[in-house]
Amino acid sequence: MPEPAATALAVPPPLWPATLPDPQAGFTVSQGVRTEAAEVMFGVTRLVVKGRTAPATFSFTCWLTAAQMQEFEEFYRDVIEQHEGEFYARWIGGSRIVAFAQAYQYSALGTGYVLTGTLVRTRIDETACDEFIQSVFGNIYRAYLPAVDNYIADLTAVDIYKDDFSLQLIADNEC
Amino acid sequence: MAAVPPWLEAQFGCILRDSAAIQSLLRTQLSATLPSPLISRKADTSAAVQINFELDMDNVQITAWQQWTTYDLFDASLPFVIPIPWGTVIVGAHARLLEAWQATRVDSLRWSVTGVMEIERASLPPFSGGLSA
Repeated sequence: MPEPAATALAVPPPLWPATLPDPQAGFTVSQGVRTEAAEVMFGVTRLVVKGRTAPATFSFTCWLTAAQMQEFEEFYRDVIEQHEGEFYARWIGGSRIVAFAQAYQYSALGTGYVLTGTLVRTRIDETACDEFIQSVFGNIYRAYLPAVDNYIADLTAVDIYKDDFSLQLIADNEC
Repeated sequence: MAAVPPWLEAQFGCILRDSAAIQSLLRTQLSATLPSPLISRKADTSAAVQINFELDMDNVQITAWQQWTTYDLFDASLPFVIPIPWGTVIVGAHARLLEAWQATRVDSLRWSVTGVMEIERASLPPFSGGLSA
């Protein structure tokens, strides 16, 4: 199976700054789950492909000086404001565009910081395996599920329940 | 509007760097899951920064801490100003205590106080999406 490519963007995502280090420790790639066990009455478990483009996640740990922490914060603020939080890191490789999947964390390392984060690959080209699937199954049905009807419930209230207790009675019986 | 009370390091000490864990909450939102490819979108850019902290206090300091959180912070509901190192600068960040803090007896003289505080992003420097340096 080919490596899914990223969908082309009008504006290329920003690059992880060359002045920031690569992750020095704890770099882990977790492949997304792409199959699911189908229920069977008996016999061996059958797996079906449910998420052909399930993205991988990348956990990393980066040791930063105070100046590098400041540079990373500035880089990521710009990534959020100008590029919706998506960027490209040379240490992930390929044409993989990633975004933070969880809140990133800092802990102390002397006067510096240890940055720990989890990235997830975004914008995987969902047509990546079409040619292969067509060769096997002959056809692809892709439902984009457009909404054709909007149901708007105005839920107009026609009855308002009012109790018979006066404010004075309530005030008199407050604890 | 009343002045925001400061962190009283003379009375109950400082948070040590080694005992603090900082978490920058997500300022983006990932699109829903499969089958569509994930897409990241800008979300709440004012999402806060959380700091899990630990303080080592003696009996006098913990009395001052309890008075400060109870009266100055009105049962920890009010924000306060705390100087924190952030990158190469030290900022007076606006913070508030989240959840309940815990005090654990370490020995006959000392307490270990742990808790979580939330830093308003607006009070961080511009390089972190804040307004003040």
